[in-house]
Amino acid sequence: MSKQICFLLAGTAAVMLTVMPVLSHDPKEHEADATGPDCAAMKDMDTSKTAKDDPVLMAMRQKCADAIQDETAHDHGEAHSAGDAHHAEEAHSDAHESH
Amino acid sequence: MNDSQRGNVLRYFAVILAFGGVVALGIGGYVYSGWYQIGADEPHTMPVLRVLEFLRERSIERAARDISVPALDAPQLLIAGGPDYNEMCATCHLKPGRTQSDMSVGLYPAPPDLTKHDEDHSEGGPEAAARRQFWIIKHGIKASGMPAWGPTHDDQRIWAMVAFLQKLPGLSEFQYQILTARGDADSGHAH
Repeated sequence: MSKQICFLLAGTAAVMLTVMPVLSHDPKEHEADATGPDCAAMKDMDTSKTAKDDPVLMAMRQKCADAIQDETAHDHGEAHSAGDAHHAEEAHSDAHESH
Repeated sequence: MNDSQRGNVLRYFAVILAFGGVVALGIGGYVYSGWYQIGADEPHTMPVLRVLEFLRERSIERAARDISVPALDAPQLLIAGGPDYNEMCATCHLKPGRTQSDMSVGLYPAPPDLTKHDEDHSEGGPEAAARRQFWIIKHGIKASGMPAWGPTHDDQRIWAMVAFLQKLPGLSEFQYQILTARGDADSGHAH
């Protein structure tokens, strides 16, 4: 009987020791936030009551303008490099054909 | 003053000196004994807390009084200060939509929640508050968990964080997200 109690206690302690550290700490706590600005939400923002020279609004607009510019440049770069790849492929196949 | 009066005055000072000595010995003995709980999970006793808070506030007030505050309303300052706040401060001082973190719960003294207006230090006006924040960010506070960012960040960068702090209590979650997100162009924060 006492052996059973000992096993039960040891089992409970083992489960607690395994589960407690997991429960006590959310790993997201120290996760770096690497996402860019979520500018889609700005479209629904009511700015009618905000002054046009409000620094927060101006900073948000500027940040989103920069992000859109970066994104466009990125897309353009991708399209450009895809075009380059296409041209390179064509040139490659032309070279093969001429052989 | 005759001899008897002089003797009374000397006796009076001797009693005061002896009393002061006993008190100093008592405090010294208590400190040496190690009975004071220094763990961060147990608060200071009220007299110790009051003395430390008073010491902290007087020291910051004296040290920060000659700092001149630049204009803090430029949007560029918010754009520069937001990501730094998010990476260096938000874990302890929180952000919109978050009421606690491991650090805000575990640190003692508890780091102030900077998403709320600071009523305790508002009497000197916004300029005094900005001076205080600049000094604390730059120099840190001993034995509080607040590091000195001055050795690794220049004044301009610290003022940008101060500018962001002025707006932080009024920011919504989505405003905070946009202002603190680091784009590809400014992702080179060396931490």
